[in-house]
Amino acid sequence: MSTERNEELAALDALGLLGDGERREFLEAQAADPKLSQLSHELKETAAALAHTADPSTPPPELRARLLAEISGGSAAPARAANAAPAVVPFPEWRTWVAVGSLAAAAGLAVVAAWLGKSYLAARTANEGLKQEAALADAAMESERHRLEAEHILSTQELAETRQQLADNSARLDAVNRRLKAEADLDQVKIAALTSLLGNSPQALAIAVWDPQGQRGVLKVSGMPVAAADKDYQLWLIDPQYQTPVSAGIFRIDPQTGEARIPFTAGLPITTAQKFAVSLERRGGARQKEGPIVLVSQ
Amino acid sequence: MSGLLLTLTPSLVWSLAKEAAENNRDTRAMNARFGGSSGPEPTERPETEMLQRMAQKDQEAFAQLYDRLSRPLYAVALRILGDAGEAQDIVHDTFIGLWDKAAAFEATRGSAFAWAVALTRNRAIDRLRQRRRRAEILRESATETPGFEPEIGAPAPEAAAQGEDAQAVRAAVATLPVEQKRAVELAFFSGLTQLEIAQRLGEPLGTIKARIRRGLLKLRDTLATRL
Repeated sequence: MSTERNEELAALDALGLLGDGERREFLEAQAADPKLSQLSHELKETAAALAHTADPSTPPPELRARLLAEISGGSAAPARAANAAPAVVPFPEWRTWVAVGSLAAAAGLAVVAAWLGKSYLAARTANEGLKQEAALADAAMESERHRLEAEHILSTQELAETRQQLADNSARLDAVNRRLKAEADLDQVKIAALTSLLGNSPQALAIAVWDPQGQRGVLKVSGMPVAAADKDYQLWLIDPQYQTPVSAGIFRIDPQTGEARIPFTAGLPITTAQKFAVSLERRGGARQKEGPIVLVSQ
Repeated sequence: MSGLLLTLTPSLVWSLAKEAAENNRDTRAMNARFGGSSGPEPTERPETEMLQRMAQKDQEAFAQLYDRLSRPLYAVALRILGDAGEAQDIVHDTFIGLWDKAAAFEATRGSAFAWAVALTRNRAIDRLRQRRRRAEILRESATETPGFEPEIGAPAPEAAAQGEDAQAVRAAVATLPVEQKRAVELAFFSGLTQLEIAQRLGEPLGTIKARIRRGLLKLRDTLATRL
């Protein structure tokens, strides 16, 4: 066996750290090597010296007094026992009773100790049971908490989906409403075809669309000759509530195509667009119709 | 042999005797302090004589031994247990044990000081382990790591009262490499097993054993030259 291993065993032994197997190994090594015992002794003394590295502390004076009192009482008994050992000294009767009483007290103490031990074990068992119950309750509570969390998550998701569905439905409803409104508005739209009164341009044609709700319209003209430089075409709306036609603005014909597309509004609020007419007016238009009518609706 | 003796002059005899004395100085020094078996006569050590008188139920010897050893023994118990009441119990039981078993003491097997320290330490560690098992708080010791304190060079006010022995031991411990010091202090004060020390320090078991071996051997050598 190596020296290092023996030294290691001796060091561990000095600090009380040897396991059973190592202790046997160390004893065998000591038997084989007498010097190892000397090393073991030296290391034990070294280990004991480590006591001096603990923080200096002084035990209370009462401890010394208590110990001295105890050994004073304890030392007397063995001395008496040694003196009383010879059988020639009679044992006083009162001492017998004291001895019997002591034995009875000891027996009583033993019973009490046993009862306390039993009570302790019972309390310990009950305590263990309570601990287990508490652990089970904790586990159940934790499980319930997880279930509620899962339900909460699902409910939150469902709520979000429901809200999205409501929003989609609302959007669809709005779209339907808009479409219905548009269809309703279209029913009220006035569409009129204006035919030519021009002898030199009988093919001239115009379509007027009027939205009474929006008080606006579009005029589409085709086949019209371009007006003279000092003239403009002017659109009029005939509403029975007014004695004279209401101007809807002037327009010019594209010389390339002979067409024009003119969004227009009326100069006064129109209740009923009974007819549309286009006249040829002076450049810039007129407040009241002055020139000849060139297009008129039926 | 006689021819050889005839050649020895008185001065040579004196120098040989001195050399022989020097050869034994280290071991004698430590034994004189801590009571080794291979040292001079056992009766030279006061604790040994006190134990021999205690074996005769000499209460005065008991009081003298108590005055001589109670402080280091109490310090060890207090360091291990960290509780003054329990430390007092341990010291009480140790001295009662010394009183009852004084007759069984054999000076040839070790010093009285080492015997008393071993009794104290074993009782304290037993109680510590009972406490740990009972409360199942093995980790508790992690927050109460024992250590060699105060460090040498900054002694506590009471340290001077420990005498030269304590100062010499503290100085010797201070020369240990940190890892050896740590392993030795845990081995002596913590009540942990080899494996638990290795786990505590996060080192392989073999490394811990080697550190304890080297640390104790170095301490032995250092103390032999200092005491």
